[in-house]
Amino acid sequence: MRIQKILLYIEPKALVEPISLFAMNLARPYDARVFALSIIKHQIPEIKARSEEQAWKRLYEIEEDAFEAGIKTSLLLEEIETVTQNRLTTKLINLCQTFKTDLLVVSSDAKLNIKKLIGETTIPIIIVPPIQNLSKLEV
Amino acid sequence: MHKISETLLSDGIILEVKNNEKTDVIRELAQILIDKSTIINSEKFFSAIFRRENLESTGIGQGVAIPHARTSAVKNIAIVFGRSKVGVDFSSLDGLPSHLIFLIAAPEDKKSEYIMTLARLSKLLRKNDVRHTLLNAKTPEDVVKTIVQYE
Repeated sequence: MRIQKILLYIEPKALVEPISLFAMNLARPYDARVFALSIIKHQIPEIKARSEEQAWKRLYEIEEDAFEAGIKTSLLLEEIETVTQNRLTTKLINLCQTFKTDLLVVSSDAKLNIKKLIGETTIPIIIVPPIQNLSKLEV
Repeated sequence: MHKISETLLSDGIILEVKNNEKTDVIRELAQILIDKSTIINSEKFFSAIFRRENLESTGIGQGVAIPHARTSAVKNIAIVFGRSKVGVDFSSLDGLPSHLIFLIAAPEDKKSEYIMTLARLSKLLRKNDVRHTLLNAKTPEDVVKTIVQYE
């Protein structure tokens, strides 16, 4: 199997580094592109502004790390009307199809319906455990 | 941390860029910073910004592109802006050409400020009103006013 596109889902408040390093390590041998994705809730502008800025900040931090490591990246910031496990999961499944990604990387503590995700996604999924359970990662 | 309106050079605004190709547009915008000695080593700067363009799509969609580079070839953080009526292909994920192009140059040691500038600018440019107003701005002053108003 040749992996060309990896969708990396970043939770708004999760620790970004371990999961992004993991995705970059996966991408490297295949020269694959990492699509770093964050999903925020559609809210009134005044409330949304803060979460949107934070989400972009995290995405650009990933992009900068990837750039330094020579990994190809694309950034995606999506919005949904209501944040529930099922809606987030459906959005993620749809984005996998839209961008024809070969692999999905999510954190085990992501607020997703994992059963639905596994059942409805047609690509392999890697669920990365919390940082304390990971051995040392280097890019 | 500076505001976008403080980092955007008021004399670094081109309401209609001369070029249609991505690399030429980047060169056209960067030339402003070279002329102002904000970029002190143009070869090094172009090497950094084009390396990034090869790795990433700096087109963030909705007709916006933010080519950027952080390198020791830059003296201080600065933004220049160019507008293209026909649009420029920045390999945006939505497949649309970019009409609003903001080039960010930052010194190597200003990583946090650089990331925050990228985040704030991206946030600002996702607002429909901002993009619409910038697309219809008649003067560079209108561009600055828009950024100040919505920031």
